[in-house]
Amino acid sequence: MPDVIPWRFIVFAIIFAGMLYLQFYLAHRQWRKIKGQQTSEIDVGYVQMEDFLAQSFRRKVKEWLQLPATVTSDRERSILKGRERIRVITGGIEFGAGEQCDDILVVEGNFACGPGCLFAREILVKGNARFGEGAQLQSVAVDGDLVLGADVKVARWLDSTRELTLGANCLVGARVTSGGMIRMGPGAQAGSMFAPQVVSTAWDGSFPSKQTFETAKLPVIAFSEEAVAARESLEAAGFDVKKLIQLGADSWLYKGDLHLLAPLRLMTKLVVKGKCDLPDGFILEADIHADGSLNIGANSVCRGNLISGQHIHLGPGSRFAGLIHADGSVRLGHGTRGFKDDGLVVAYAGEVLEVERDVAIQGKLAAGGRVIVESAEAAEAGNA
Amino acid sequence: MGVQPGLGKKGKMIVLLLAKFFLGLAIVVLTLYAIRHYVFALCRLALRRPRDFMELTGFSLPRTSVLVPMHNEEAVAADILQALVECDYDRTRLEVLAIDDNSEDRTSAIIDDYAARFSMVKAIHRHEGAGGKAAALQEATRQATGEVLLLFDADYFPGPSLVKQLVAPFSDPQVGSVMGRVVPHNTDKTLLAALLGLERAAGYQVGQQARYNLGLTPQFGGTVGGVRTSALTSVGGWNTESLTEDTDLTFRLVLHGWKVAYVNRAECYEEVPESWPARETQIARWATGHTDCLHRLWPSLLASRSLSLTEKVDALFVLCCYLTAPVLILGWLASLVLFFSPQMHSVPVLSVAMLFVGYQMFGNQATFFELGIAALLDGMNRRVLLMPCNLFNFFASTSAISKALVRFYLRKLWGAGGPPWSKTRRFRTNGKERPFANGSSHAPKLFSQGANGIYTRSGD
Repeated sequence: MPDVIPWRFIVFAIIFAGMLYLQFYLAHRQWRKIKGQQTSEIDVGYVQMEDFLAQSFRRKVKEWLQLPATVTSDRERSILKGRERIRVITGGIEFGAGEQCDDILVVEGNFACGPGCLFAREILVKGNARFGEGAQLQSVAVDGDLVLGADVKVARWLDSTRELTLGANCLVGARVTSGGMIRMGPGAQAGSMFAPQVVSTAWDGSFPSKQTFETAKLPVIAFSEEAVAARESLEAAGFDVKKLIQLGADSWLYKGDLHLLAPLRLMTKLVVKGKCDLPDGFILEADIHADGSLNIGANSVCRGNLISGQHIHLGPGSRFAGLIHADGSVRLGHGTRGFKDDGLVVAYAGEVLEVERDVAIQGKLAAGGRVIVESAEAAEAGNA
Repeated sequence: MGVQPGLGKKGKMIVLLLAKFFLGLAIVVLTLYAIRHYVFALCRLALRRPRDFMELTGFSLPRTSVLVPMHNEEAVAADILQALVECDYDRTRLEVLAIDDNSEDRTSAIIDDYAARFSMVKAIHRHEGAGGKAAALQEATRQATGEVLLLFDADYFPGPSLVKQLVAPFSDPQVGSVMGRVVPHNTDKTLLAALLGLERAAGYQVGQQARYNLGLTPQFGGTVGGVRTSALTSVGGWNTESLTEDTDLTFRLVLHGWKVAYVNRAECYEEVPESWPARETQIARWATGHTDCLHRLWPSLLASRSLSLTEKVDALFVLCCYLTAPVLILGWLASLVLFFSPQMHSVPVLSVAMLFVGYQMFGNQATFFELGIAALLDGMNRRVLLMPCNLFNFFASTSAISKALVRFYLRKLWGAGGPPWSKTRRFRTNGKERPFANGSSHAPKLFSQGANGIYTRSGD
């Protein structure tokens, strides 16, 4: 009789049934846990903020300051929050060269530190702050002016409500935001910089007015079925009419590389399915997209958006009033100005955004890689 | 053992041949889709996003019209209109067109109330003409003044920044349409809703994002998205004959040379069906609409010069996806026939059957792999445990889609017109069941933008 009982099959069937039951049991148990619980996977109140890291830190500090504190001296009290210690300093404070602090600092006055200091945690300063050469910081929020000396390294972010100055070769891991102005020293690097004014080294202090944005009189090119049919004006301007296809009422597609030699005033939105080179003094009144690189000559004016699937180079002395976006790198030539009357501008590079000397914009410079300001040596070489 | 008693030798042979054909077809088709699931999931993990539109949000603010078609939406109308009037977009460049499409409940009164209180809201009442979403959109598009048209279904909850996030990609002149991400908010209500939450996560977090990363065409879903007005005009407007006017528009745009952008971070809550009958109605409409688009568009897609070969192949995968359900059922029936046939022991049949078994392991794993990746990317680690229950959703959906497609082809065969547009049932009751913990049904306004463009928390 025992030989007839298929033990192996029975064992297999039990294990199989057990495994099948187990996965449904776990699923059912999980379902009972989440049933009736409100989903919290996304924040419905989420608002895009440039300074969200600093805002979040300021809110936390506000909460921490309500916790019981231990008075350690007439100018200092400390708050314990779990394993973290928050040092609250009444009035200003000055750290000597090479000093180190491992606590979160809240300074209710001005802050200063000498060269080579190390601050391992976040700092909130209610007055002005100045960090000496070669200091290393985590993150700093300042309710006043913030000045960083040369070669300061910041692991995360910086924020100030007024003017923020990055010394030469400063390195910031993430965002730099300011409610006033950001001055970028030569060789400074960051993830992004956002302020009503962001200027690079050797800025001459000028921002063109609306009048100076007025442009020279150039031949006007606006694509239309009639213009394409007539051909002459477009071919004279350097377009191969056979490559032009109408996308919509106000946009055209150019199949291939576009290399124009003479400056024009282009009024129609254009999508170039290749590389696009525009000469010095070009005027773009509408958006342009190039699948390849987009090179715009010196002293050009771009009122539309500039988009490229590869790289964008905006020639020296150019002005832009829209949005610059490249999947690869972006280079803003010296003397570039970015501004518009009714809002802020942005230049974004998927890889690196290089900023030459004397660049000034109202808005944001950001990169998937880094925003890098031209180094002092490169600037000198450029001047020469 | 015979295949079918009463069948002659010739008949048996034909049945067996047909069974082999359908089984082979099922294996090939489903294996191709399985490979596609794997490729998308791996590309989602490995490839960098081609463009981070979030960094551009708020810097380009074209005049925008938000279209909200509503048919008997008294339960949800006030919530979406309130959310839209509270959004942080420049008021001088925004209009909300609330469309009352032949409603028989209080929808019309709610819309009129908002139009009276907020100048940015315009009421459109439709009491004649063709019904359905596409017809309502066609009417609203004629009255819209925006360069960009954004669309929301009435049961959605747009957050304060969503309009800005969705218009950002239109700064690129080749973008004709933009799609945001849909996230179900009622996944705690029934097991079906929880499973649909996982399915949506896979569809958007993995499927749409991977397609965008790969330079293919993400699908414009007709809600939480938008279209450039000039692009819509260039392709002849909304197709009022289509049950899925969104899919139809997506492919007409790309055929014309426009691109569709996907913004994964532009998230918006929606309500997914909580009951199987509601789910069946929804998926039947999608299946019919998609397949109808396939029949109309495949010749143009294959002949297109503006699409690359991979774009064409992907477009056909998208449009054929609902056909996999009847193909799968045919494959199962064929494998049963072959299992009981005298040829069961023959090598070719066995190898085919083995391949089919292989698909069951490989294919299901591929789908689950995609769901799992999406759940992990969304940080819903524990919800991965629900995946075995997706088997029920899979069987129910396969049956609903197959039934819908049989009806579709029978109507086609008899020369009858397309089925009427059917609205998905809403499960929310306004004022009785609020979806958010703060007691509000719409996104709370947490931050305000200062003159310098920087946001600060309200009340700070």
